[in-house]
Parts: sequence; structure tokens; C-alpha cells
Amino acid sequence: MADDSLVSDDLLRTLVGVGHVDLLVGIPTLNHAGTISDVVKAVEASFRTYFPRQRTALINSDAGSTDDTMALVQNCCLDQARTVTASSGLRTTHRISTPYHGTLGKTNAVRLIFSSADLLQANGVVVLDPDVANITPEWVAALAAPLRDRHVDFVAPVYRRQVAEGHLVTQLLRPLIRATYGWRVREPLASEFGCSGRFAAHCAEQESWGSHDVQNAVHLWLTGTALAGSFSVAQTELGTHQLVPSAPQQPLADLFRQVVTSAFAMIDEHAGYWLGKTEVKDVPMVGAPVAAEAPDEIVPPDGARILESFDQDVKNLEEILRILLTKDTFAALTSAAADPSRPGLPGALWATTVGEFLVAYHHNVMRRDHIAQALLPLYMARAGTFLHEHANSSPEAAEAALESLCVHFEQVKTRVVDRWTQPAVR
Amino acid sequence: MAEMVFQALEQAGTNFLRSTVELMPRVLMTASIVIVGWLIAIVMKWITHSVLTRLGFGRLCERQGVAHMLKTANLPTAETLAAVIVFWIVWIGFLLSGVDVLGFAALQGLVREFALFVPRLLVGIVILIVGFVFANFAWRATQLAAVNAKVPSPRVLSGTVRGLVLILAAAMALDQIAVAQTIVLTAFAIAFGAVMLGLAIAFGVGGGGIARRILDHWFPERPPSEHDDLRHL
Repeated sequence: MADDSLVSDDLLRTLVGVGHVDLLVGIPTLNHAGTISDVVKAVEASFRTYFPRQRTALINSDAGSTDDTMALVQNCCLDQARTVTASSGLRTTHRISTPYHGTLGKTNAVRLIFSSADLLQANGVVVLDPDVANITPEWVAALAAPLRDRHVDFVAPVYRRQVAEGHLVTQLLRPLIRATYGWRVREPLASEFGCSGRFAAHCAEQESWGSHDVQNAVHLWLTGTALAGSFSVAQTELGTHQLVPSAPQQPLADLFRQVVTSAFAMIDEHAGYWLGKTEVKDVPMVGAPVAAEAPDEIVPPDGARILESFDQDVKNLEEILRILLTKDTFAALTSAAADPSRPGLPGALWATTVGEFLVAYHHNVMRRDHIAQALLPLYMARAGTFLHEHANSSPEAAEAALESLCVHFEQVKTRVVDRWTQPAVR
Repeated sequence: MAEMVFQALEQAGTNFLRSTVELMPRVLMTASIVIVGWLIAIVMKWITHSVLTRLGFGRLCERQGVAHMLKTANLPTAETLAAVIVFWIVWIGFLLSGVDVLGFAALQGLVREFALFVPRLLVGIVILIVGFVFANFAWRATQLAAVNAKVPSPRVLSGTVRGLVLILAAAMALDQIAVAQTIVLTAFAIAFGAVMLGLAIAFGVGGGGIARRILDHWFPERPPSEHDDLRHL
């Protein structure tokens, strides 16, 4: 049942007026006047083109924009070109724009969307991020169609990434989630996803929304909940993922700390699910890949320059790393950092390091945000190593290297499981 | 004459024997108190160690970095140290009670003074422990933040923070115990002032360039570094 305190009386009246819907698309916003019109138009075009017989609604959950975001959601119209290509819908499409109260952030916005979906008895929910510049009607269709046609509970996107982007996902979250949960999910942190009404209702009922770990990385928590619960999960290719240049960017130290503590906390919470799992399964790909224009090539930063501080960082953090890592791993890390002939953090050692940090987090050997902070310099070294080795590689070679990294993480899992239930011994 | 000497000696011997006879029970009582106190102190030490071990005090100390500091200083583990402190407080209490029973005028009142001293000592120890914990927290937080922000010499910075917090905690603990309060206060003020003055003079004379570099680093007008170019998401 939806949280009563979250849904205002006005919103409740509006939702009652809308009635039952088949598909609800939610867009969390905060001062997105520059981009929201394009997103709303893409959603409207998708409704008309791909879901003309469905009862559809768009809900904008706004964190208190001071620009015209909410007005634009209500008033923007399909432009001429899209009106021509999109057929007319057979049913009325509703647009709801509502502010939400409480802590600002995407978490409460998503929660309000889920609560609304529960009240509307929506069969499917799609959530989009207005910070993404290249959302098309096909994205909505790709995320929503498997919910309707295949009765999937959670549809995660797959993005076509370049070597120089998404390191936090490719070097850390993807291999870590894959190794622990035993599912080859490629984008565990994606801010666009589709889910069934059943999944939305399940999540809306959870008590975890208020926790810092969910507040800091709600999309990761949703992925973990889908994987660890009895929900069917699928992936769909959306092409490239281009953030608008004006998208707000958190300082890396804060972003990394929040994402890593949330990931570790979620894995810790779901230990009962993954500790006994030994095999890794594919998450089925559904739908045809969304056609996308080739993105502007991102010039990769110089990995060797990023690695310059690796040796000094390890020396500076020696006392802390000695607490978090086993003697062997610490020795290997020191040796790798100091080796001038082959600078960098190899995949196998990175996987072992992350595994031991996870165990240290579980055993609470240190204040937990300090554990995440201590991992940041090592993550930078790993990102630098990958860029150094693959800046000029073909996409296939880079993909093979990422796959190899995932396998290293899977191999480390046995040791993580062994040490998970033991007292903190170093 | 000889008879007088003999009588005096006899009197002295009698007095000595009487005093000894009078004192002997008190000596025995003192010995009993000391021995029983020692046994009770041993038991208290064992109980303290067991309870703290069961409560996971060692892990807590490890988490706060206190265990690491004790190890560096070649001290026993936190549980053992706490148990030893309890042992000595209990045993010294019994020891002074025993001495009090002897009834020597010069030693009268020691127990009362000790009873007044123990709470201050305990508060001092608590201040020291809290200081240790806070110093380690500040050290670790400073070191991590400095390393991640690429601040130069993070170990020096974090070590300085820890040292200052420890000095402050030690001064507060000594002040609480009130051992040679004036000397402690004066010594602390002189030492702290001297160190700060020395640092200021050294930095002013020889560190102008360093200061400029640090300020340039903290408030830079520079192009984004390679780190800033990374697209993490």
C-alpha cells in the first residue's frame, strides 16, 4: 500500500481522477527547464506510437524547482515533426506534475512515482532521467514493452559505453554485483529502468527508503532488490548514454563514498541471497537494440598521469590499508604501486582488494565511510590502469578486458565467502 | 648504677614486647587485608578482562584505532590494560586500608585521600580514552580527506592533527587528576607556546615559498587535472 504521508491530498484526488493505467512513466526533476520538454515530448511520442491502445500517464515528481519545470511538463506539446510521425493515441494520456515533500533527492521522487503507480494500479512503470540528453521514444518502448509482452518485473538498460567513460560502473559496480549476486547485469546504477507494478508496489512497501544507503544510490538498491527478490529481470540495449553538459556533478569524493557505502551495505543486507550462490547467470537481453547515432568520441585522459600518484597514495594510506587488507594483498599492492616497469593496478589484484574491503565493511573493522574513502585512491589507480592499457584499444578488446575483470571478481568470491562468516582476522 | 641500667633495659624490653604484642594483631590484620585485597584485585582483573572481551571491547578499540596505537607503543591489548588498571586501583585501595589499620600517625588519612583521588583518576582515564578515540578518528578522517583531495603531505597533516588532540587530551587528563596542577599547566602552556612560536617563526622565515605553493594548491587557477576529466558514471 502506498505511503499516505507521501501522497498529498491534491495528488490523491488527481490519481483517483486518472483511474487505472497500463503504463506510468515517471520523471524526477529539479530545475530541469532546459531539458524537460524534450523528455516529455519523447514520452508523449512513445505513448502515441508504441502504446496507442494502452491507458498511459506521465508523472513528474518535482523536488521544488524554481524554474518553469513543472509548467513545462504540463504545457509542452509535441512538435510538428513528431506529430506527423507519431500516430494519434486512442486513449487519453494524463500528465501529472507534483511536488513532493521531505528530503530532496531522486530517492523520494522515485518513491512517490512508485506510490502513485501502486494507487493507479499501473501494470508497468518506466522511470527516466531528465539529465540524459538523448532520450527517445524508443527508449520508453524498449523499457516498457518487455513488462507488457514478457511479464518481466525489472528491465535494466544496457548502454554502449566508450573506454573513457563509466569507470565507476565498469571497474567496480558491474563486476562486484555480478560476482556477488551471480547475475550478469551490466548497468546496476542506471537511472533509467522499467519495472512491473508488482515490483513497484513491493518496493513502495519497504522500510528502507529512509536509510542513507538507499537515499544515496536508489537505482543501485532497486537493481539489488530485483536481483535478490523473486523478480524476473531482463536487459535492453538503449544505445549511448549522453548526459547533458549542464547536469549537476557531485564531487568525486562524495559520489564515490556514497555509491560504495550503498553498494557494500546492499550486498551485506542481501548476504543471505548470494553467499550460497556459486554460478553466474546471464540476464536475458530483450527487444531489439535501440538505433543510436554514433556519439562524439571522448578523448580518454592520460592513464599514466592518473597513475602517477598511485605509489604515494598507497604509502600515505599504509596504516589504514594494513587494517583493511590481508598481509599478502597489502604486500602485493605495495609492490604493484612501486613497480616502475609495469605501473598500475592489475585486474586480479583490484578484485582481491575490493573483496577484502567488502569483508572489512561487513566485519565493521573501521568506520564504514572511511572504508569507502580509503578505496577511492585505489579505484583511481584502477581507472588509470585501464585507460593506460586500453585508451587505443578497439571496443571489442576493451570489452574483453572488462569481461576478464568480471571473471577475476568471480574468482575472488570464494575467498570473500570463506572470510564472511569468520571473525575479523587479518 | 648497674641496677639502674638493668631496670631501664628491662623497662625498654617490656615496653617493646608490649608494643609488639599490641602491634602484632594489627600487622596480621594488615597482612590479611593486603593478601585478601590482592586476591580480590586478581578476581576483579579477571572479571574485567572477561566482560570486556565478551562485550567486544577489543574490536571497538581496533575500530577506533586505539588498538593500533597501543600496539605501536608496545602496550598490551585494550582489555588487558583496562584489567590491569582495575587490578592496581583495587589493590592499592586495600593496601592503603591495611596501612591505615596499622595506626601510624604519619600514614593516617591516606585512604581518605586515595578515595578522593580514585574518581579523579577514573575521570582522567576516561578523558584520555576519549581523547585517544577522537584523535584517531580525526587522524584517519584528515588523512583520507587529504589523500583524496591530493593535499600535499597528508601524513604530516593528519599526524599533526592527532598529536594536537592527544596533547590536549593529556593536558586535560592531568589537570583532572590534579597532580602538580600548576607545574602541569605551566609546562603545557610553555611547551605549547614554544612549539607554536617555533613553527610560526620557522614557517615565516623559511616557508614563504611553501606557503605560496600551499595557497596556490588550495585556491588554484589551473586547468582541470586528468582526474577531473574522468567520466565516472
